[in-house]
Amino acid sequence: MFKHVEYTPEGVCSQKISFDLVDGYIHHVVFTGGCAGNTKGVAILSEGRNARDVARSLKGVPCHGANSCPHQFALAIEQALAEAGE
Amino acid sequence: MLSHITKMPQLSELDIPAKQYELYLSDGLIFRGLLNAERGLEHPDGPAADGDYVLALISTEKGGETRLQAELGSRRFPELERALTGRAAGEGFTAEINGEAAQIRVEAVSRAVDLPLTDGAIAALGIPGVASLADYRRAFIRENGEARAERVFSSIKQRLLTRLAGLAEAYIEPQELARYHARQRAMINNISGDVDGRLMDAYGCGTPEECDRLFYEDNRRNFTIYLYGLALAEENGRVPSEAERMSAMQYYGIIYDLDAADISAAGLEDEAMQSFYLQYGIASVREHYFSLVRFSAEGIEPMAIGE
Repeated sequence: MFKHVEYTPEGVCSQKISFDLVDGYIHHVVFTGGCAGNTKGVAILSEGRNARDVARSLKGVPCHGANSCPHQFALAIEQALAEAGE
Repeated sequence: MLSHITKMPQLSELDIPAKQYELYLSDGLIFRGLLNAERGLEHPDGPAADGDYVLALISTEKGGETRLQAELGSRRFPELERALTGRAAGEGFTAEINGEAAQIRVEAVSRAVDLPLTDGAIAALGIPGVASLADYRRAFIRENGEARAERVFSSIKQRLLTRLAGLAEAYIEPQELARYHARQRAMINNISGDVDGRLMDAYGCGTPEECDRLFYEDNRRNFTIYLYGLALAEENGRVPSEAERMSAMQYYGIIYDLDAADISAAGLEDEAMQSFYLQYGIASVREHYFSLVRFSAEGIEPMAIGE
């Protein structure tokens, strides 16, 4: 299953998170806005990884209180997996 | 009021270059969202090639076991991608990865399959009113054209406003301009508490005095556009609604910590309405730009916004 995701995060500095899910693995993550270095780092480290593992690792990472761009990315992944029935 | 403007500019004199309003939209842009939404996957039995996604289980003495899906040709994992190219699902082999001997097993090969860009494939999607590539292009322009024009306008807006202020000639009472300038400084100070710092950030200048001079020139421009907006509104018979009047008063009130009754009692209503007429002047420039915009794409006639 191929799924392209464009997610609007809430309560954080980045305005959009986009990525592709290929058979449950993460590719081509792009954060629009947010801390450039940190979000690029998250994108690079997520490339090719199991989506559920990435979500588990990033969920709850704090920055704005209990929220952060990585946490929002985790939520985006979970939503995409749920929509894909995985 | 009209006497403030001694020469009314014609918006045609803004001389906007054609390339800024004749906007060409490529098929890559138009069909990107559709291709992303309709992309499927197949799982070939044969060897993996550039563009394929290869799921591999990699075992090394130091790293243990890692499962990774590499996109061949992405150069994200160069050594691994080279090792996996030409392999098929089910194959096992050894390779050197990051200076270590690795046992690699190819678990799956996935290949993206894109919707063919043909009239038939588009028609088969059953999108109402879309039976061909040209129909889709026109529908895309109808749905997205205004937003795209807005982005281009945002990028050229300041240049157009500077040109408009240059074309207009106005009698500006120095005291009125000074009050306007003071109000803009007060607004920035109200927001950040550090107006000089903000101006230095905005203009990249060395001293607060130099920055304030540049800010004053910007405000002279905006004041001219306000007077143009005021004259234009009088020409067009445009009177602010009660809601617009209250909005302008509230904006003014925030800067000076006044309520509407205070503003009226002090005879400051005209001054408070400056923001309304400034925005009216700017809106006329936007409307002029939008009237010029034409979108073109492969195989279709140029389209105006709202067509």
